[in-house]
Amino acid sequence: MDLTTNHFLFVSAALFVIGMMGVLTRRNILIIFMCVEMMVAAVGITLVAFSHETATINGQVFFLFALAVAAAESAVGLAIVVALSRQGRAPDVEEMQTLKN
Amino acid sequence: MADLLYLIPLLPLVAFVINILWGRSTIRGNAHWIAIPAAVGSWVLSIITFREIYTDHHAISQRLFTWIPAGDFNIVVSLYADQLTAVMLLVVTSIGMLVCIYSVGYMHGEDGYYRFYSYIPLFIFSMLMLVLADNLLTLFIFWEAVGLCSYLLIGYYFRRRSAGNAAKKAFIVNRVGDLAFGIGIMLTYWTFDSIYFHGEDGILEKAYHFADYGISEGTIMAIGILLFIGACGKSAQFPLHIWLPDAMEGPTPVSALIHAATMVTAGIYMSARSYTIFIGSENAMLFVAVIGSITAFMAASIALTQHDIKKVVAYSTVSQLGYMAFALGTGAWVAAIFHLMTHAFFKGLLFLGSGSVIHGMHGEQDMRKMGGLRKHMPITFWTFLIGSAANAGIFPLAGFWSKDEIIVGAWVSDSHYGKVAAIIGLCAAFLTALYMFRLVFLVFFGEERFDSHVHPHESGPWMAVPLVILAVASIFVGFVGFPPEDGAFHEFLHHAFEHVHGHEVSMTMTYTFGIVSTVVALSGVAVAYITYMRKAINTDELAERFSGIYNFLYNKWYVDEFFMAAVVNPMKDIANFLWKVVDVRIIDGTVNGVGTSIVAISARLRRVQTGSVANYALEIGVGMVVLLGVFLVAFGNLF
Amino acid sequence: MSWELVFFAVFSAAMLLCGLGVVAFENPVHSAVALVGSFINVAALFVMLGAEFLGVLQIIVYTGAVLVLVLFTIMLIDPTKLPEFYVGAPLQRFASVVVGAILLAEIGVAIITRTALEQIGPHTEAMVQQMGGNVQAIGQVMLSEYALAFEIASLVLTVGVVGAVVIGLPNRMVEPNTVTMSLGHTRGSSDMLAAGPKFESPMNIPAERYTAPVGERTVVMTKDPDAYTHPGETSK
Repeated sequence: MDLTTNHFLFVSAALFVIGMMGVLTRRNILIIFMCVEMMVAAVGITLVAFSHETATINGQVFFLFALAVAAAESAVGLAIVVALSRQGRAPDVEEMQTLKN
Repeated sequence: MADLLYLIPLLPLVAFVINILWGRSTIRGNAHWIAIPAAVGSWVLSIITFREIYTDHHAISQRLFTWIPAGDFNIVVSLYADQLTAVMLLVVTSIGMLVCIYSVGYMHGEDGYYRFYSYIPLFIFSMLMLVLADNLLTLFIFWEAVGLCSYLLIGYYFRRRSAGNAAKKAFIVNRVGDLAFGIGIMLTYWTFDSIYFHGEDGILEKAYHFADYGISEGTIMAIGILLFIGACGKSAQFPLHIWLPDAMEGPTPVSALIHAATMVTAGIYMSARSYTIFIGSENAMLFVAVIGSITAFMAASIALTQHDIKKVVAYSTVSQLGYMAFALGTGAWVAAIFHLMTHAFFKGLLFLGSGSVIHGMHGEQDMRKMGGLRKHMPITFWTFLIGSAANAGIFPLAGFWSKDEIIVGAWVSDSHYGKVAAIIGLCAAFLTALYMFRLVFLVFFGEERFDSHVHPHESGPWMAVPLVILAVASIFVGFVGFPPEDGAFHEFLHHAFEHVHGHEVSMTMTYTFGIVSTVVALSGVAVAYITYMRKAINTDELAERFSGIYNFLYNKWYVDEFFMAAVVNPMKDIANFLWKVVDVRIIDGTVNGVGTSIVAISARLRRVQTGSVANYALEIGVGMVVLLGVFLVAFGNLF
Repeated sequence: MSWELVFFAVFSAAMLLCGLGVVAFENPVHSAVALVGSFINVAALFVMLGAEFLGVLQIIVYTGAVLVLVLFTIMLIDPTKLPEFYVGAPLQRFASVVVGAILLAEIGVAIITRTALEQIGPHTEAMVQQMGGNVQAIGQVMLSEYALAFEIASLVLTVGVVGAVVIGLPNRMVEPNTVTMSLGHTRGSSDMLAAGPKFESPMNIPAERYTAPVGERTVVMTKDPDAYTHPGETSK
């Protein structure tokens, strides 16, 4: 049995779903944030795997950009968490319900 | 003159524009100084035109502009004046001018004085364009325009509810006729491929030789009847006459100009203008004659029982229009136009005279509250007397010649109905003399029945002068048709009715009918004298004894009630149904139902917006799953 | 059974375990550390796929920068205010698990049924070697074909940084200096008090609103918070 692209894809799918479970079930914004990063990494594995399979470097370039955007996102997201804590509010998704109705 | 034809209608139009634009702000009480010169100018130009046509025997036409250029269908607005138009021009401008002058006195100090002197020139303009039109479509446009002016002027005292209702009634009843007229015009175009009256391809030529063009007589009959129904609306023929008595809500000069002398004769004019269509179909002629004679008799009988001075004169107008109509129907074309002209003068005179009476009585219109006015307003009395005699057909006044000619023409016509019509005409002539002199005796003779604080006074010169002019005209204008059937008038108009073969009327017949109708008229006067001067017959007792007939006449043959029951009330029911069921329930119900159901749905749907981020994320996940599933099933190579 | 497969199995197992740890640890610090482990294994998988540059970058950017940032943030948060572990609604949790399972199954089916792609691109291993390595290959593509995207990415990063600074500025998140207290509501509830007699206050106070200074803030007392909608203005 050789190592094929499909192995990487399975692993990436598993990581993605684990991340998604975290997003859906945890209440702590920080954890959710980390799970989102994990999902991004899972997508990265997929991109790179396909890049390897088709021998095009573009997939890696895409992930590079995704990395950049994720970094910017983490900066903003963490700043929001800090601002929340400054207001004395907990980083809890269930507390934030201003969109209700 | 041909180049200046356009000036005749243009002058009143300019007067209208000036008065309507600046009348309210600047001109105000001086509005007549704009309108009268315009009317006089038109009148002078009309006389010049008339002279030219009279000497040259040629029709004058002037092309103005192309109105509708649409492929083969070209409507050119051009003015056309032949002998018939020339007569109408003279009538319209003469009466229009006199009414303008008269109204200075009558309308003095009224609210919206400028409005009156805007609408009157507008009306004169429209009426002149109507008679100058050389095709049916232009004629129809101005036919509607005069209807509009009539509406505006009947509703002149628009603060009075009855005036507004009368205006609406006139407009709506006219719509009935106009619908038929419109269909008639369409049918005309469809049949003749032309809407122009004159020329090689014109309606008149084609209708006269309709068999050569493969047109059936039935079509000609249909066109004739449709056009005449249109004329019925405008010229107040039975059963569409009901608007005219109500139209007396307008100022009296308006009644004189529009509802006696000019606009109501538009139907007669239009029928005479398209005379070959009627010549082509005996049945259409019969229709016209029957309607005309019914109208003449009915209106005369109603006039006997009315108490309102203007209503009597109004029914008299309807009756005289009936005469004109059955003259048309029995082929006495020239006689119809002759009567139209004489009637314009003496009926204009009667209306202006009754206006003078009303003015002198401070607005009182009920004849039961008048009497003995002869001493108080002599000029009005004498002129009114002349007008009444002319209307009654007393020798040798204007009405005698024309009415006599109509009756003779009916008697000798080829139509089977002619003799019946002539006899009905004689009966109506008797009634005419009776109600006219009932009016004269009740108003000007006998004891004074008005309240003591009313002081009747003679009208001023603005009003008196037109009365005198019209009285003189009423005496002498009949002589243009002398000798009967062969006068200058007939000689002149003969060119306009070139396809008409004159009746053979013997001298004996002329004299016989002259004497008969004089006797009939005088007996009517005599009966009126015996009844209302001598009081030999107690009218109240008479009304009591024949209460059935009296009520029938007093309620105007129940025509209004018939229309209420047959047309207006069903229409109201339908409208109510459309309003309360279709509109409120179905249409509004649908619209509101859509609204409320959306509100209800969204009230439930808004629970989806929980505000919880976890829920939203889950929803995104569900969406992803569904999309992927769809993709796999539809595009993947799973199956 | 090649060594490659063995390494792959080890790395991926470690990665998934660490990922589970991120989700499962109650303490955010533990989660963060697990995330570091997971990312290191992701980097290892990148290297196995011949993307050495991305592997290095993954470690530098994520474990080096982002994760440190996360740890700092955790440090800034008041530990007593950390929320409960799971979301409250059991239905949400159950639905999440179901959705996750279905998604995993769907992706698995998609992977199994897919047709393998061919080597259509120019960047075969030999080619990359010839270009001087993975970094050179990426650099060439990124700075030629994707130059515009590269610039935009840098702009995004700049905006992100500026945004983070703006949001984090203390003055920006200041509370309004006017506090509106409603006398028409019970404390801590947004429901109006049950109606007493109309136009009558539930408390025995004048119907007119009045303001009372409390510390540095202006407190406005109204029967209805909607009646007071201009925080800058103080009424008499």
